Amino acid sequence: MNERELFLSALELSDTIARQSYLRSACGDDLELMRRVETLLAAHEQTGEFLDAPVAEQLATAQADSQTTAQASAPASATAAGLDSSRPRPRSAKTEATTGEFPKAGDAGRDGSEFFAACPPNWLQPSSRADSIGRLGQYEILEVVGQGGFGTVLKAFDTKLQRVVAIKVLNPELAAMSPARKRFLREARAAAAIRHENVVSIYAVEESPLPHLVMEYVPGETLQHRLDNQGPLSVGDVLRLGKQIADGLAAAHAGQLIHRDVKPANILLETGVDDHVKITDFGLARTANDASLTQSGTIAGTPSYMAPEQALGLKLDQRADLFSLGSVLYQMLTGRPPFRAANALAILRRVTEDVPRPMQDIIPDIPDWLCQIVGRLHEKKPENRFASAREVSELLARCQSELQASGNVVAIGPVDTRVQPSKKTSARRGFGVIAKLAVATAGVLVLAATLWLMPVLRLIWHGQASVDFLNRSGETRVEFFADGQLVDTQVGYGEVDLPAGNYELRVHHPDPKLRIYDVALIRLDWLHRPHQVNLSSPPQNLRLRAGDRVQLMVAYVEKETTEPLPSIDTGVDDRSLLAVADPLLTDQWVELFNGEDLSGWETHPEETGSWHVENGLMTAAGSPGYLFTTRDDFTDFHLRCDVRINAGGDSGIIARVPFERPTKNGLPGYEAQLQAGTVLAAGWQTGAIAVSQRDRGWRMLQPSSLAIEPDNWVTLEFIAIGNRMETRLSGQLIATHVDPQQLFARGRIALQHSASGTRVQFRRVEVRLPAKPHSGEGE
Amino acid sequence: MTEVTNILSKIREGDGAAADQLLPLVYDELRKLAALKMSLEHPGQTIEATALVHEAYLRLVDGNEHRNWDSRGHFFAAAATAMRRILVDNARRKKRVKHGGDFQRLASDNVELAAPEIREDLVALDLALDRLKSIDPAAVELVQLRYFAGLSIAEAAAVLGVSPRSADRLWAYGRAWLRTELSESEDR
Repeated sequence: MNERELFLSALELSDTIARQSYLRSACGDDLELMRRVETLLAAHEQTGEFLDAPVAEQLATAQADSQTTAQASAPASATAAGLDSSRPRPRSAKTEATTGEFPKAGDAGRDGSEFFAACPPNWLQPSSRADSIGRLGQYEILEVVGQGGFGTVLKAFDTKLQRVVAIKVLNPELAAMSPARKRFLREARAAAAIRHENVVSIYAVEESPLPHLVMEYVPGETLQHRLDNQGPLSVGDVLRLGKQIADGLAAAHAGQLIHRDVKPANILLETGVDDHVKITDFGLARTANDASLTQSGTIAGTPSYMAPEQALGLKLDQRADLFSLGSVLYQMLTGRPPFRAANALAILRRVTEDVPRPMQDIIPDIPDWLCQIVGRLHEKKPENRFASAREVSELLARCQSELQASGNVVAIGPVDTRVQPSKKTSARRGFGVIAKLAVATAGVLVLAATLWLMPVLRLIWHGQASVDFLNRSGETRVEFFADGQLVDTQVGYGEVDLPAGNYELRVHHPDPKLRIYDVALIRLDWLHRPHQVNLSSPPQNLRLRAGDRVQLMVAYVEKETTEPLPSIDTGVDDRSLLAVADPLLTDQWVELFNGEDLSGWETHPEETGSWHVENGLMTAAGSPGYLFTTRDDFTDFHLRCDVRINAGGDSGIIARVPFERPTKNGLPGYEAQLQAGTVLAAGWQTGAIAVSQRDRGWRMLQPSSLAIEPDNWVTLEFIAIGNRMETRLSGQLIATHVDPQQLFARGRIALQHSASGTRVQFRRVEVRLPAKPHSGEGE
Repeated sequence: MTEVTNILSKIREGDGAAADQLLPLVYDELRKLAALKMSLEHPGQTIEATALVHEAYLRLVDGNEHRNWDSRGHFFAAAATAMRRILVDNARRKKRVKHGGDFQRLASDNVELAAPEIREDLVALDLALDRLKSIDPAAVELVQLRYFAGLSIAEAAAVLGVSPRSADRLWAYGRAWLRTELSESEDR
């Protein structure tokens, strides 16, 4: 294996120890190579935005940013007050104001001089403290820490309670406007009711001399500052901080308060052992709106984080904050806000109309499940988002613990509040186990089985989910475990209702002669395109969306079955059944398809399917069904056909079948499997030999791992002599099998079209038969 | 039939050498377009690489060829290489200006892409890409399409004719390789 292959294989292993041991065994003595791959892996893990933003995009962003700061500093900072330490904290304001005098007009800038200049005289009392600007009631004003469109934030010392506080003072020109003044006070009083560790506490709301509120002083920096300095955060940090933001919002929402301006500049990170989130400026965005009306007539704040309904001026509820939370998470993960444009109006249009650029385009390592969560928060319609901040918080907490426990989040199911009535029916059918999960909303499933004989599928499902469960084997039992307790068992065909929880699915088959060859979890999207994860390949996420169908499939082989031949191998022909067939069969090929119509063929009246002749090709695409030869006495034969099949298509040639209505078990007989792409569990590629029995369903007799090109003509041969079978592709042996039971001796040949997403076409179908046609009769 | 359409159809017919003729034409067009944009657009507006490449494509290739995905792929691959040259040359010039040299040339060159702060050192990246090309040319193509021509991973995957997942993996490798190479050359 070369360096790239080693790197990519190691990357599939999420665990560092597993990676190391893998590299040790794969590199052997080549320590140089091992060191090299380890360096690459370390470079890969390194955070930062290296190469993530196309160079032209960086140029455009740099331009746009410099413009925004130059032209729009007022609206951009309108609500950014809080304790926004991303701004410099000049101390100049206090130097000459120890007696309560105001800095001279003309000391323009962020030091609060304009604010002080506009304040009524004597609103601050002289102070005796050397480091104080002045006194406001019991508070010694120490310095100006932030300046926004509607208020100024001062750091102060509470002389009564002997603690440092922050005071937000409404700007004097707003204080002069009665509605703005009233709204500021009303919102501030509502916000004062919230007591939560992730919300900046408001200690007091005062009306005079200027309306102001006294709040907790949070040492630290804003999330905006953190992102500006450090770029994107790790997934672990995003989950941890994101959960705290959601907690703070949940507390506010519980008090019927909407924040309206959730953004990185309003999220304070308190320094400590681990930084701790404190959300500030609850409800003050509306005051900011009043502020902007007095100023420029533009929309207040940074619309980049606004919910669409907010941008459109519609009625808001708490879910508007969830949209903004989605934007904040997006920025934490990618380092940039999701909706960017040259001016505020263009941003608003993007917020209401556009889907943000996929985060994985920017940083490919962001896990799918996290993209799903952000995507759900970013739903344009509030009703499609999560229902509450509490729900988001719980989800993020679960992800966090999963990440800590296993090193990666195995699966996030949808949070679905729609509970579907349980409807359990039982219909014994057969072909491994098929579970259809009715997916109501987005989610992720993963196959994380490690035990070969009894695979355990881990399924983490959040919220209520109705699982449409189809067991087509009749004998395979699937058990659902939650926290080690068996909660449900399925051996039939029906639905399983799974409340929120972590599940393990265990698969058993009572026949000790069978072993599980592979388990596949397959999602079919609305175009019937298959997406799957397999037990036989390293764990991957499978993304689920509304309208998808999910099937769980187990492929069994008899234990003594040999491993599949890895590829076409010209050296194996001495084992071929042709040596037996050639002397037995004539050299005459008999056409089974005349190239014009389906004479010589028929479909079962109860399941006619979609077989027809199209441009000289025998074609099936649409409703499933089998096409039978009218001739019903095939025993030994050598069939060959030219066939092509679409990606994801599943078809086959079944030998020695009776003329009966196909069931979910298909038809009893031997099958030469035909498929392109990987639709099924491993081993079910073209040329695999399988058997189906009425009560037992499909079982693989000889697997094949040969993937054929979709939509390309191939020549498939199927030879059956007595109890021996063989498949060949393009003249080469694929699989050969001896059935000691000889389950099927005589019958029709049928062409399979078993799934509606399949399009299969046959160009030539011909057989050669024993010299004396009915010599095998009565055996 | 335009010259580029003609070359594209030659490439499709299996004339490997024709691809070499594509690059200078695409390069010229992109430079011209970039210069034109800079003179027409409002100050502060910058060139969007992807938009530029699309526009060059529309200008250089006959309409009836537009539906041919193979042609698009070849064109985009050439355009990505051209964008790399333009941007790297530009960065190289900036470097020289910083060090006081070659002012004359800068002044006479009307294709001036504003380049405030690019995170990556384009000149070093260019050299690293040359080295990577001898090891893994596909990874270089992907990096060019993604980083220089501004295509998304999915679009780049389509141009390269690989699955998005393969492209993701190739991207991970290429990025890690380049990052290692750049940090090692810094250490030296």
